[in-house]
Amino acid sequence: MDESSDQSETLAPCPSPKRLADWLDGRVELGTAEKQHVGACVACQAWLERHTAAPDLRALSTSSLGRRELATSVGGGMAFAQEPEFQALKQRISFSQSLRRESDSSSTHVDPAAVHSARVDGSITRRWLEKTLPSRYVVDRLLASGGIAVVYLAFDSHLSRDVAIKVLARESVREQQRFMREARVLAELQHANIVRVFDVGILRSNRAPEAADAESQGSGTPYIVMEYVAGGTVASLYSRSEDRDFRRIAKLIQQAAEGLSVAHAAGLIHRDVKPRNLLLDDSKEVCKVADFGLARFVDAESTQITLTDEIVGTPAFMSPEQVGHPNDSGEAVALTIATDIYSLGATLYQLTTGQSPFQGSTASILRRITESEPVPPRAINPDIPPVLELICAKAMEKAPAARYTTMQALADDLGRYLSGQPTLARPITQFEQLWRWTKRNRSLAVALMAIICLLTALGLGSTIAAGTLWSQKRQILSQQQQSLRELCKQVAVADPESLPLVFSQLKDYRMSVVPELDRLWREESLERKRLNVACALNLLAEDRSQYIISHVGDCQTTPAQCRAICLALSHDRDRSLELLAAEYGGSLDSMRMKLAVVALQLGNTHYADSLVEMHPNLRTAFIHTLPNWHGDMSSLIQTLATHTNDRTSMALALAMGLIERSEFSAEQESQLSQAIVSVRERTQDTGVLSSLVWLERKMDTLAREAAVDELVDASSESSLASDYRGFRMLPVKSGSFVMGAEAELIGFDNRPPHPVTLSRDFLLADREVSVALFRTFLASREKSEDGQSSKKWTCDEAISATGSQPAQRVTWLEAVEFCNWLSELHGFEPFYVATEAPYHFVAKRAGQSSRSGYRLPTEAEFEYACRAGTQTLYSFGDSMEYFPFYVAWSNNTRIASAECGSLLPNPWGFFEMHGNVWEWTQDWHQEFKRDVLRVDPECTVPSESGRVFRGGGVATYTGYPESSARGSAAADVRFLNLGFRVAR
Amino acid sequence: MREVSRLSRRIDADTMPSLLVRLRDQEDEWAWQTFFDAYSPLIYNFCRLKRLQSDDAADVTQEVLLRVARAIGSFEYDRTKGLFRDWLARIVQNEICRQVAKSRKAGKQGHGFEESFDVSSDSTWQENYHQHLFDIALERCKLSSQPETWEMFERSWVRQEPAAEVAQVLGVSIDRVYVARCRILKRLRREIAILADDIV
Repeated sequence: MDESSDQSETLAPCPSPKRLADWLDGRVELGTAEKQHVGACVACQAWLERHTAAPDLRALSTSSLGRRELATSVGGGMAFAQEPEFQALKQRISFSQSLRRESDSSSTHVDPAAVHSARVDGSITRRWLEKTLPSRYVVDRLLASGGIAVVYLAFDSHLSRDVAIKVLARESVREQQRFMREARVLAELQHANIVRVFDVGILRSNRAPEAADAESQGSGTPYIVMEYVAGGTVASLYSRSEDRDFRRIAKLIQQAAEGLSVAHAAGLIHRDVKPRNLLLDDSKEVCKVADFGLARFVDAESTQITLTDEIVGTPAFMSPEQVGHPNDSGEAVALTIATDIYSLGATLYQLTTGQSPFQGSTASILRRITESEPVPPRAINPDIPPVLELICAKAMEKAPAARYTTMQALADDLGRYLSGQPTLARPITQFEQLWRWTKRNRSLAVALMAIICLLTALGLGSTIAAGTLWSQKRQILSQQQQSLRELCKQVAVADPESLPLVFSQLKDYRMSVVPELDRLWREESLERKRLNVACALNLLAEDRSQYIISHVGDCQTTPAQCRAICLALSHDRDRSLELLAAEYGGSLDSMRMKLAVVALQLGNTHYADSLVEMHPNLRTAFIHTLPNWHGDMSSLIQTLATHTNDRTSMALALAMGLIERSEFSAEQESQLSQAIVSVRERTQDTGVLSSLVWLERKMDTLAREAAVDELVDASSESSLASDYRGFRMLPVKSGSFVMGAEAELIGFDNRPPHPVTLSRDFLLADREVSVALFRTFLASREKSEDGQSSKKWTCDEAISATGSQPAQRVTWLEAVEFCNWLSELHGFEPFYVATEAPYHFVAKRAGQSSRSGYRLPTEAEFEYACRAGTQTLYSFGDSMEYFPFYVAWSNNTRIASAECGSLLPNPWGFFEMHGNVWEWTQDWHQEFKRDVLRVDPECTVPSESGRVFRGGGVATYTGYPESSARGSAAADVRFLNLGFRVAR
Repeated sequence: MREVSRLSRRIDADTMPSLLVRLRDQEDEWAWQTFFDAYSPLIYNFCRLKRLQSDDAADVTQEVLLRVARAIGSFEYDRTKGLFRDWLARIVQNEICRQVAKSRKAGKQGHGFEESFDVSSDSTWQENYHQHLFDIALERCKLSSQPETWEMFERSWVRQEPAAEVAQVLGVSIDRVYVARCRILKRLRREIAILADDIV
C-alpha cells in the first residue's frame, strides 16, 4: 500500500487515438487518470489540437477569425445590413415571431457598468429594460423603435400572453405627459379596432417600487403595456408590385375607421394615421389602430396649430391643415377630426396604389400636400374599383369641410362598397360630383356659369343704366371688368377637361379678354397655367402654337390635356403641323409619341406610321401612349377606318381596346364597329385581324362568354376574321431570323444566337389550347378507349380556374395525342405514329412537315412566330413595364393564367406566346451552336433532357418569358404551367 | 435567461433535414424564417456592394426571396444541376438587372451601378456567401450552447488562444476545453450543412 506511488506515477500511458476520438465524440468517458494524463501530455494535446482544428471550417471565413473581438452577431460581417431600409425589410418578412431570436443586437455590447444606469447612449437597451421592468414581463425582442418611443415584445408571465411594451425614449417632461395621457385615454377606449392597453407604469433605474402614479413624481421612464398584435402593419400587406385585394383593403380601412370613430367620440384626434400605425392581427383580417402618441384632445387649448408650432406627423399622410396651410384669410386652420379622415384617405390611397399620394423630399411633400392634387389612383392602377377611388378622393379633399363629416360616414361608405348591393351602390353619382381629381370641371362649370350670368346681366344692365348717374355706370363697368378678369383667371386654373367649355365662352369677349390673357401669359410662372392661357390665346387667333407644341412633352399626359391642345392647334392646322415637324426632329422619344398623336389628330399619319415601323420599343410605347393621350375619339376611329398602314391600324385597334369604354359615346361605339368591318375588308394581315378580334372581345364581353365552351372550329382556315371559336390557325410565311439570344439575363438554358431559315410556310394556332378544349379531347378519348384509363389529367385550378384558360400539366405525350385526335376530327391524316420509347411517337413524315394533320410546332417555328419579326427580348420590345398587357407572368402572388386570347397579340397576331403557360414543341432538346446556320431545323435525336418547351410560364419565378426562353423535360412529365398550342 | 427556456428550440441536427429540403414545404415556418434570416442580409449586402441604393437593394432582396420561395419546390431548382449558391446568384443577378432597368426608367440618378457583372464569376459573391453563412452558423451555435462551453470554444478555436491558457484562465481542466471545442465544431458543421447543403 504505497499511496505515494499513485501520486508519483506521473503519467498513465497515452490513451489510444481511437479512445481519444471516442471520448471527443462522447462515446466513452475518460477516467480521472486519463484526464490527468491528457492535462499533462504534450503529445495527446497535440493530437487533440489537430483533431479539433477543423481547417475546412476555418477556411470558410475569409476574415481573420483570430482578430475578432467576439464571435460576430448575426450579420456582423454585413456592414450594410445595419441600414434602416434593410431593417425595415426584415420587419416585413419576419412572419413568425415566436421562432425568432432576439434581433436587438445592442444588448450584446452593453457595458456592464452602464446596465444599472438609466440608459446607454440615451437609448433604451434591452438589458436595462430587463432589470427595471416588473419581473412578470419577460422581454423578448425589439419590435420597433422611433424617435419618441421604443416597443419591445415581452411575455406576461402572470397572464401567460404576449404583450407589447412601449417605453418612452425621450426624457422631456412634456413628452412624458403626452405619453402618459395616451396611456390613460387608450385604457378607456375599448374597441376591437384599437390596440388595447393593459397596464402603465414608470421605470426607475434604481428599481423603485412600480408606481403607476409616478407621473406626478416627474423623473423616471414611463411605459405602456399593450396588446401585442402579431400580424405586422398594413404597410407590409402588399409589396409595391403585388396584386391587391381591394375588398380586403376596404375592409381593413373600414375597421380602422370604426376604431378611429370611437377615438373621435372620446374627443381624441389621432394626428398620425398612416399604414404603419394600423396593425394586423394574426389572421391579417383584423386591423387595429395603434400609436396614439401624437393624439390631442379636440377641446384642448392647443388644437390650434400655429405656424410656429411644431409640425408633427408623417409628411406623406398629413392633411393640408396639419401641414400648417393657412386658410384663405391667412389664419391657421384648427385641427379637427377631419385631419384623421384625410390621413386615413391617404392611407387608403397608399394601400390601393402602392405609392403614397405625394412623393419626394419632406419639404416638397409638404408643399405639394397643400398645392397639388395627387395622381388619381386609377391612373396608377386601373384595377382599382372606381368607388374606392371616389371614397378616397372625398376623404382627401383639401378643404376639411368637403371631406366626410365623420369617421363613421367614411366607414359607412366603405361598408356600402363592400356590401355591393346595387341600391346602396347608387350613391356613386353623388360622389362623382365631389370627385375633383377627374371631375373638377363640374364645380368649375358652376363657377363659370355664375360669371357668365353676371356678365350677361351686366350687359343688359348697362342699357338699363344708361340714364343713371355716371358714377353708377362706372361702377357697373368695373364690375364687368372684374368678372372678365375672373374668367381669365379661370382659364389659367381650369382643369384641362373643362378647357373646351371655358374656351367656348371666351369667343364672345375676345376684345376684352385678350389683353388680360396676354398679361397672364407673360406673368404666370406655373407652366401648367401658362399652357392653358396659351391654348386660349391660340383659339382667339393670338398665335402661341410654338409655345404649345414645345410644351407637349412636359404637360400632363391625359386625354383632356391632349384634347385641349389639339383643339387649340386645330385653329391653324397647317402652321401647327409645320411647327410640329420642326419640333419633332430634336425631341426625345417620349415627346415624339405625344407629338405623333397630336399630328394624328390634326390629320397627319406620317409620324405614327414611322414610329410603329421603326422599332418594337417605339411601336409599343406609341400604342400605350394613346390611351392616356388622345384627342377627339371620332377622328381616331375615322383614321382606323380609312388609313391603310397595317402596323398603324393594328396600333390604333389595340389602343382603342385599352381606352376606357366609358370614353366612347354610343355613336362612337357603332362608328368603331363600322370601322372594324371596313378594316377587315381591306387587309389580310394576321396582326391586324387578331387585333380586331381582341378589340371586339374587349368591346363586347357577352359574345366572348358564349363562345368559350364551343368546340374548336379550325377546319376552315378562312375563318380568320370570324368570331372567336376555339382558336384560329394563322398562316406564317417562310423566312429567316436569328434564333436564341445573348444571355444577358440568365434563364434556364444557354441559347447562343444563330441564323435560322424556315423554307416552308406553316400554320400556327393564334392561342394556346384551352382547358375546355383539352377536356373535350380527354372525354372523347376515354370513350374510344373504352375504360382503359390512362394516367389521370387534372386541371390545376390555381392556374386555370375556367375552361377558357390554357390547359396545363399536360404531358408531351398527351399533347401529341391531342394533335392526332384533332386531325381525325377535322378529316386530316394524323401526323404522329405511335412507336416505342424513347420516341413514343414519331412524325409520320419526319423532316418534311408538309401540311397534313395537326402537330406541335418545332422549336424554331415557335420562336419565329413568337418574335414576329423582332430581335428584342420580347415581341413588344425590351421593357417589362408592358408585361401586364402582353404577358401573364408571376409577380409573387399571381399564378393564375390569362384566358386564352385575352392579352394583346404580337405583331403577327399570336396571343400569349410569352408567359401564360410554357408550350411544348415537337423537338428533342439540343444545344445551339453559335452563329451556325440551320435550315428548317428539327431535332429528332433523342436527348436525355427530353423535349423542349418554350415561351415562359405564369408560375415561373426565376427565368423570364423572353422570345428565346427554353426549357426541357421528359415527355411524360407534368409541370405546373406547361401546356401547348398546335401547328400544321 | 428566463426567456431562453421559453424561446429556444433545441435543434437536433442529427435528424434535421437540410434547410433547402425543408423549404419545399411552404408551410414550414421555421425553415422559412431561418432562410430569410440567414440569406436576406447576404443578398442585401451584396446589392449594396454592387452599388444599388438602399431602397432598391431592399426591393431586390425581397423580390429574390419571394422568387426563391416560389421556385424552390418546382422544376426550376434542380439540385443535381448545380449548387444552390450559383442558382441563387443567378436570381440575384437577374433581379439586380431588373431593378437597375426600372430605376433607369424612373429616371433615378446616381445609382452608379456597375454596368455589367457576372455573379457566377464574381468572387465577392462566393466569399460573402461563405463568410456570412459561417457567421450565421456560429451565431446559431452560440445561442444553443452553454455560455461556459461557448467561451472555451470561442477562445481556443475562434481566437486561437492556446488550450492550456484557456483552461487556466477559465479555471477548468484542459480536457474540457477540447471536448467543448469538439462538440461545438460538430454542431457548427451541422448548422452549416443545414443552412446550405453545398459548402461543407
